[in-house]
Amino acid sequence: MPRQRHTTLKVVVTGPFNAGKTTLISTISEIPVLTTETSVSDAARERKKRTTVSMDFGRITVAGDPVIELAMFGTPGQARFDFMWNVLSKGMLGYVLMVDVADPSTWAEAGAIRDHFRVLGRVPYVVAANRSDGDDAAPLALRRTLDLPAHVRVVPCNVVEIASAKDVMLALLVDVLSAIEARPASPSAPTPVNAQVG
Amino acid sequence: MESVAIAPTATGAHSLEEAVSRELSTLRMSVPGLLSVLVATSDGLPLVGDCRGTDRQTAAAMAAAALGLGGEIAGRIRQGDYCETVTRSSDGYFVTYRIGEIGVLAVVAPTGVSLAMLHHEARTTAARLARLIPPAD
Repeated sequence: MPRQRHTTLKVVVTGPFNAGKTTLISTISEIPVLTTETSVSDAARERKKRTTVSMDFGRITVAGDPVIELAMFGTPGQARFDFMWNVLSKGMLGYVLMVDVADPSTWAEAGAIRDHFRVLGRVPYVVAANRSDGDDAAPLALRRTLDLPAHVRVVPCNVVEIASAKDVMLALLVDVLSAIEARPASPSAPTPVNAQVG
Repeated sequence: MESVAIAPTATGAHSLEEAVSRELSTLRMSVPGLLSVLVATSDGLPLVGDCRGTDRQTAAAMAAAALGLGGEIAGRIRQGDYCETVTRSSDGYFVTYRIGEIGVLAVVAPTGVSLAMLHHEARTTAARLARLIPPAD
């Protein structure tokens, strides 16, 4: 029996403070998540007690041929950590922009982060409209606020739920795979790491 | 629950800031040639000091990132509590020392400095700061 082919795809989960980035990765990762959460010491403490200061890392395997391992890198959300956005985005093939749809005061910040990431890599992204709770209007308003191109998907979700978190990652995976197929072979473009595991 | 942030208007905060500044001055006197010393919270906010070459907000965030990642590495490979990270570059050092559970001491030094002497003095400073600054939790 031929050995299964494995491909590792690097994706990034970004978005504003308290959007749910660490939660998304923690919910679906099949390995213990590497997290760097620490206590919040300033006024933001009223919104959340702990925040990511360096990175999160988790992994999920998607069955198929080849078997796809999604290596998920979570960024800090606060702007003073934007140097980590540059570090973590190296070699990414796509990213999730996580947004709290229940808190429109964070949407402008989400737009600024998206603008930063668009410069870092011309790769697909999906917008995870977190804490949607069945509200159809908010994701639409979010799409308008972020002025999203038609091909960028907004995925309503609540990433504390496994199925919902998987929906987000699968939406991104589909777009990443389409982008890889559509791209002409170029030595300068980021390519998946072909790790022939085992 | 009190915040770690030192606000000049808060009662008694001046004395704490001054006490921290005194510790940093002692460190600078003990290890001649240091370029910058900075104390920041573990979530990356500057408390006292500055950083040569960049603004203190970014320096505080970078020190906290080193602390956070270093702590995770130490825990994962079961080597106990994180102590420090040395970033050695062609033109000098950026060293971060954990201050108890509450923050990080960042030191910028030129290549000529004795790293052994810096470690000896800065570890003492970090331990003294840990007793000085009240914890956030």
